[in-house]
Amino acid sequence: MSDEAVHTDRQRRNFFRKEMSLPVSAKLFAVKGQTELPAERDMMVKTVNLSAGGILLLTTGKTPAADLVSEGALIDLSFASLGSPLPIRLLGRVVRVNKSSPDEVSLAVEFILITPSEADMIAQKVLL
Amino acid sequence: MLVEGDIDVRSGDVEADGDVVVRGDVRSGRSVSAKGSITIHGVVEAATVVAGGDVSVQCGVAGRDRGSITAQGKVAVGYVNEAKLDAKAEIVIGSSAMNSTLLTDGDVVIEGEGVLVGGLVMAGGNLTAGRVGHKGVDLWGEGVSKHIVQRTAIMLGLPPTLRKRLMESRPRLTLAERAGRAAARNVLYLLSCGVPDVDKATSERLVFLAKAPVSEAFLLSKGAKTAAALNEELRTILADIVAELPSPSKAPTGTHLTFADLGLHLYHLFTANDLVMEVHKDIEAVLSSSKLNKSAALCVRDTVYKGVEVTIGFTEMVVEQEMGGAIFKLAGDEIVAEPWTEKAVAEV
Repeated sequence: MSDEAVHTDRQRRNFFRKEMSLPVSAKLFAVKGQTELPAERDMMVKTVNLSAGGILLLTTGKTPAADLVSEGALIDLSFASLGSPLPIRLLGRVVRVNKSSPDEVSLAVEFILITPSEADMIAQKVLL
Repeated sequence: MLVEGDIDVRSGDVEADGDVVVRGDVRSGRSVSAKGSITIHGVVEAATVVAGGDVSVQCGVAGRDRGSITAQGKVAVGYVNEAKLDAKAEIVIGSSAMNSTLLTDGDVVIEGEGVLVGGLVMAGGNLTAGRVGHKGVDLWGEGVSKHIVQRTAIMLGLPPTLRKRLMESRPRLTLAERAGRAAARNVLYLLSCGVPDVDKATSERLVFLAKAPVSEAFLLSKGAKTAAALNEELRTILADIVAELPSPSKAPTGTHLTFADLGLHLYHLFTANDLVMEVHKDIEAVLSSSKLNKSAALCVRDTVYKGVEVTIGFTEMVVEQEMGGAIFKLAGDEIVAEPWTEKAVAEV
């Protein structure tokens, strides 16, 4: 592997990630080049793996919002089971889209707006 | 299925597709579940009974704060002490309910002596009893201060699931409003310091949006549509700001740091507004629910003691002094007590 490829690979995997099935709800927040979004923005997704830096999601059904997702899109993620009184909401940016089948699309999402305490909560979930 | 004796350590737990009849008791730590109805001839101790139909316990329930009976139909027991009864249809108790939780979409009837002491009743319909509450225990002798009174709380007129939803929503709304105000303060502070790469028009618009975070008061005065439109505007501005942010793996420095901070606080403001709107919509749905029964009543034949807490619909009162038989009903915005008579009870 070239130095650049190793560096890129390291950048991609800065955080320990763990395979897990964590309940998460996802809403389309923004798409590059589009000011208006459909009224229905919920996406049906499930978690494949999670790290303090991001999450790998798999869409589990066709929705108007899921059809619009592309690289650079912003997704509004809500985690209810991280131990806080209100759900933790994080804004993520889609860095990779993989269409494994017509109905299943995997989305690699990096957390773009996250506080240190939220990152800690996720790290705890991942490491413990 | 017929169980001749007790359900205990020897018999093990019971699970059945149809009806179950237990000739003996259900001992502590055991469970009985059936898709049909369950009839228990003896006593239910600190055990769990779950039925798709009705549950009948001919003796009573002595739950030791761990026993529970849940039925999609009716629950009828001889007495209940320190247990939870949860029935979709109605609850009928033969003599007394002490320090227990009674939940039903229908009515609660305590027959015979009709004693209700301590605990919580949440019913969509009426509560009928003979004596409600307790005089209290005078620890230091007659006339000396400090009585211990067991708290008896009665909530009528709304199914328990809806009422619990309402009780959980209020604190969530408060937390969300508080988070919104905190985020708004941070946004205003950053903007007042000046954020590079945010033009004057956008900055002014953000100041406007941050000065009025969504709250219940805002929703009641300006309406949900206005709040949603303003939050949608906030979303589009935030999306433009975030589009300029580099990947977090390349840590922002210098001017980008403030820009990233602004993005974070704007996002917190957006999500707080969103949550306030969502919780408020939920509260409104409960308040205007067709399942709200404003004609629900508390009918007490003999005595109501001081300190009993009564809620009918969303109106609350606490009984201020011991009184004889009374029927508590909602009249406008308050709960009124009229004298108990058989005729008045029949009209309820």
